[in-house]
Amino acid sequence: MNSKMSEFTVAVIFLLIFPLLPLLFEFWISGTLTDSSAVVVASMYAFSIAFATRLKFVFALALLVGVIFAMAYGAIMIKASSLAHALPCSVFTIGAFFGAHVMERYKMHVLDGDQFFTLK
Amino acid sequence: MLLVFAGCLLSGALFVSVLVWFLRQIGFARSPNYGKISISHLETCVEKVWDREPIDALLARADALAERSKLLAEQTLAKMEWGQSDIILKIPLGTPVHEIEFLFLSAMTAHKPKRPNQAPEPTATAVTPPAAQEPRQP
Repeated sequence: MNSKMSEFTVAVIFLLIFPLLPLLFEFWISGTLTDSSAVVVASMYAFSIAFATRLKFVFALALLVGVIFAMAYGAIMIKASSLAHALPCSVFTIGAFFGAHVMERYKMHVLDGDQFFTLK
Repeated sequence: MLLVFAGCLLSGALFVSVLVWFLRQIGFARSPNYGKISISHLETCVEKVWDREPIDALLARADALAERSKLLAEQTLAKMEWGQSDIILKIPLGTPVHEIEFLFLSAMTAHKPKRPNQAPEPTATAVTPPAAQEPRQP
């Protein structure tokens, strides 16, 4: 694997897979996902993508989606019950953000040759 | 329920938008004003040629690239399809042409890959800074 693909792979692992670990562990341990955890992960995932992107429209839309899912999480907590279709909508949202950011990172690291780690 | 549907709809729209953006970036479905989008940060690509060409051919190629960069600058950089490359220069708008040429040559010098057991290099490849160059004819 060349260095550009390595940068891309590292970016995908750190930015896109690691934030999903709580959800994956919940599914692994309990065998199911609750609406509340899926919705809150979707919200946090949207916020993390918003601050990782370099595209303005993605930043704006991701912030908006993050706020919407945060409100949905609040609604679930207040009602102490599940929202209809909250789980599939959350999973769809997470998948959409994952796919969108994979494309952006591919352009960034493979086509443009940007480095992922710029720590000093 | 409306909240999660709205979020779902927005994230779907975001995915489609990024997909269209990505396809344009890699060359598919490119709109006629693609060049104008790229003009904002003026990305110019230079192929990495050091590891497969002798120094004379390389310098000739550098001249050709510099000439090409001048053409790009003069033609408002609307056609920047240089293909995927290993070196990317980000040159701000308003950069004089002779500085763009200098940046090309500097980048090619700086990105020369280190080869094992490489013979000593000729020192004639140093690039003269723009200030030391002869004044250009308009």
